[in-house]
Amino acid sequence: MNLERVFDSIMRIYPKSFRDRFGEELKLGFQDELNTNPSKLETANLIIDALTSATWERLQATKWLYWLFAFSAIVFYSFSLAGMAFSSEVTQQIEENLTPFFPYLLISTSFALLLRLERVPTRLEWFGMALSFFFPIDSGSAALTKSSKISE
Amino acid sequence: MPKDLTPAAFNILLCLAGEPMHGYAIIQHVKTSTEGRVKLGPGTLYSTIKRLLETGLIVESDIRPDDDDERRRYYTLTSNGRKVVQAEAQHLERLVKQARNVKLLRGVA
Repeated sequence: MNLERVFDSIMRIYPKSFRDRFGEELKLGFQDELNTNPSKLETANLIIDALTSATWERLQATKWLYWLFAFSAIVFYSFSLAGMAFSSEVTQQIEENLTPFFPYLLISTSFALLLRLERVPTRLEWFGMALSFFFPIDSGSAALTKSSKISE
Repeated sequence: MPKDLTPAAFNILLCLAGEPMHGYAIIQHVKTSTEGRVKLGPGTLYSTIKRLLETGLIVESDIRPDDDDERRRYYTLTSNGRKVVQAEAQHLERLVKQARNVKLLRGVA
């Protein structure tokens, strides 16, 4: 797959309104950058930059996703609070049923907040979210176990 | 005043305070003026330009060289954009003054 096709594929992630307005300029920008800095590192940087920007523009344009993230955030915090407030039996039940989803709910919360604040995530934040998405750490379980021990 | 003037947005506004520029010229100008410390990718650049256009801090400029590629669009600061970048620069100036006062930077306080 050549680079032009890679960038064409990334361009498709951008919402149509963005592509219509900035598509030509973006393509020109990628070509200029590749002509000036043809190194592998610079090319990788360009691809990451384009991918994160395209994903963010798509997320911002898809309004229902914001509400989905916000709803997930509410669910996440409600269950976390419930886990802390009720007896250890209830806490254990929540832990058993919801633990697998906690990393994803946490990512949804992050996205909802970032979208609400209109703040573009940094590369490190993207990396952190991707890492916790693909390799979910059992952080929810650890927190709930700790809270159940306290309530006992 | 925008909610959050990111470093990328501030650098773009700072570039355009001099003269109207197109996207790639902005990337090059930021790279040169920051001695390579800030590198804007085209993706970040146009996402930021979109937000700056929406908030009315920049507009597309009619002034452009005749011989330039027609696909390139030139951008320029609005009066509000100039006020915002000026306010941010003054804020940074005050911070530098504070840093000099506590001897973190050399120079006259």
